Amino acid sequence: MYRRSFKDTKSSLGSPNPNFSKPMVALRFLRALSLVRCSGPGARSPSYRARGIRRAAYACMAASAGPRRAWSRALLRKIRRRPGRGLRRPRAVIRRRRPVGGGDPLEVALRRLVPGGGCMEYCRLLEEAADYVKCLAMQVRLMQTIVDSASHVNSID
Amino acid sequence: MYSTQQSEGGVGTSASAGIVSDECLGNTWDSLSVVQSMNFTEANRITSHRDIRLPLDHQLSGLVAGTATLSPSDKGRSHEDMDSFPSSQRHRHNKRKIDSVQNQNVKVEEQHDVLLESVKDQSGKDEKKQNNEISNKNSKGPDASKDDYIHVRAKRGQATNSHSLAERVRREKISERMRLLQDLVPGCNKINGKAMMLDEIINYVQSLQCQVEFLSMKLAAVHPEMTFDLERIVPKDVLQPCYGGSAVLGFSPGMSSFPPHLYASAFQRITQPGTPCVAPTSRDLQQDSLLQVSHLDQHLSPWQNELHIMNPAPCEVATDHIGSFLMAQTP
Repeated sequence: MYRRSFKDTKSSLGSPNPNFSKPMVALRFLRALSLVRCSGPGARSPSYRARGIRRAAYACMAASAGPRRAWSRALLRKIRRRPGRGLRRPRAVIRRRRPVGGGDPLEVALRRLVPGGGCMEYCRLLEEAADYVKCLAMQVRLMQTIVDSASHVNSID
Repeated sequence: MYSTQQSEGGVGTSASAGIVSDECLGNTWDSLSVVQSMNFTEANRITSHRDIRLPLDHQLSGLVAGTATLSPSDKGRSHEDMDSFPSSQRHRHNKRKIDSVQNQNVKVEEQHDVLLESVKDQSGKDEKKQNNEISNKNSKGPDASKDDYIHVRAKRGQATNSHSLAERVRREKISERMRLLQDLVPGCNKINGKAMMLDEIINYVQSLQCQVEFLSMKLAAVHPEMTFDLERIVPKDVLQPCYGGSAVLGFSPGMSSFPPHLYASAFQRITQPGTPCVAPTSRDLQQDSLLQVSHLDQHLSPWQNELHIMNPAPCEVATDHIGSFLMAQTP
C-alpha cells in the first residue's frame, strides 16, 4: 500500500525535499500539537501528553521528510501501527531482506537507531542516517525554540 | 590526461573477436576479464603504455585513450572521466554490481557524480591490490559509449579484477557517505577513523533522540496552559522570500491586539537562516498526513490523501500559529 501510494505522489523528483523548510516543519508540528491536545480529554497525565507530543514530533518529522526516504516511511509505519492494528494484511512488497554483515557492533547499533535500518545495505544505511540526523537536528531546534518562546511568554505574565 | 572521446557502442564488439566472444557472453565486467585474458595471452605485446592496445582490432587503437564522459552535474564539475565498456559486454550483471545506476541518460544523481569524482580524483599511485593474482600494470580498457552505467576506470597499479573494482566503487560510496555524515555531526572534523566516526554518529543520534524526549516532556508540562486556537486563524497565503510566490502577508482578525515584538522574536528564532527554503509542491499531502497522526482510527494511509484534498489550503506559516498562541497568553 505504501509503495503504490508513493508512486502516486507528486513529490519532487529532485534530491532536495520541497517540504524540508523550517517554517513548513514548524507549521506541521504546531498543528500536530494542537491536534494532540484536542484529541484527548482535558485532564491527562503529563506523561501521556508527553508521549503524544513525542509521537507528533516524530510523525511530523517523517511527514516533512517525504515518502522518498526509507526512514520516514518506516517511522510512519511504526507510528501508525500502534492503534491496535494487529492484523497484517499480506503485502505484495517484500519488505524485509536481511543484509549480511551483522558482525560489526557499530553497524548493528546504527541499524537499531535509524528507523527502518534493519533491511538496508550499508551504503543506504549511511545515507539514510545522514538524512535522519539532519531532520532530527532540525526537529530538536524547532522544539527548543517553541519551548523557549512558550516559557518566555509565560515568564512575562 | 584523459581525452574526452566517445566511442561507438559497436566498437567493443569487434574487439578481438576470437578471444572476446566468449567473454562477451560472460557475466561480470567482461571487458576487464577480456583485458585480463588478453593481457595473459598477449602480454608480450602490451607495453608499459597506459592504454591497452588491442592488437586484433586497430579500430580501437584510437579510442582506447579516450574515455566517455557523462554530462557534468549541476555542481559544475568539469568532467567525469570514465571508462566505458563495450556495449555487448554490458549485461544485467553489471547492473547488479553497480546498484546505483538507474538512469538511462545523462541525468545522474548527485551521489553518482560525487562517486565518480572521488574515483577520478584517486591518485594514480593508489595501491589497492586485492587478493588478485593478476598483477596488471595496464588498467585501461576499451571504450564504448552508452551512459547507462557508471564506468569505473581502474588506476595504474590497481587490481582490475571485476570484484575488486566493484568493491572499490562500493568503498568509495561508503567513504563519501561518511564524509557527508561528518559534515552533519558537529565536532567530527578531527576524527579520522571510520570506527570512531561511527561511534560519534551513534552517540549523536542517541543524544538527539534523548533531546526530543526531554523537549516533548517539557512541552507537555507547558502545554496545558496554551490554547491552540487554530480555528480562529484564517489561513492566508503568507509572503515568504523563500517561497517567492504571490502570497500576501495576512493576519487573522483575532490577532489584532497582538504584541508585535513577541511575534517578531519568535518568528526570527524559528526561521533562523541556514535552512533551505523551497517552494512546497506536495504540501497538501503532508498537511493531510499530519491530520492522520492524531486521528488514530483513520484508515487512509497518509500518502494517499493527495487524492482527497479537501481544499488546497494556502500556505500557512508558523508565524501565524506562533502568533496566535502567543497572543492567547496575553490577558
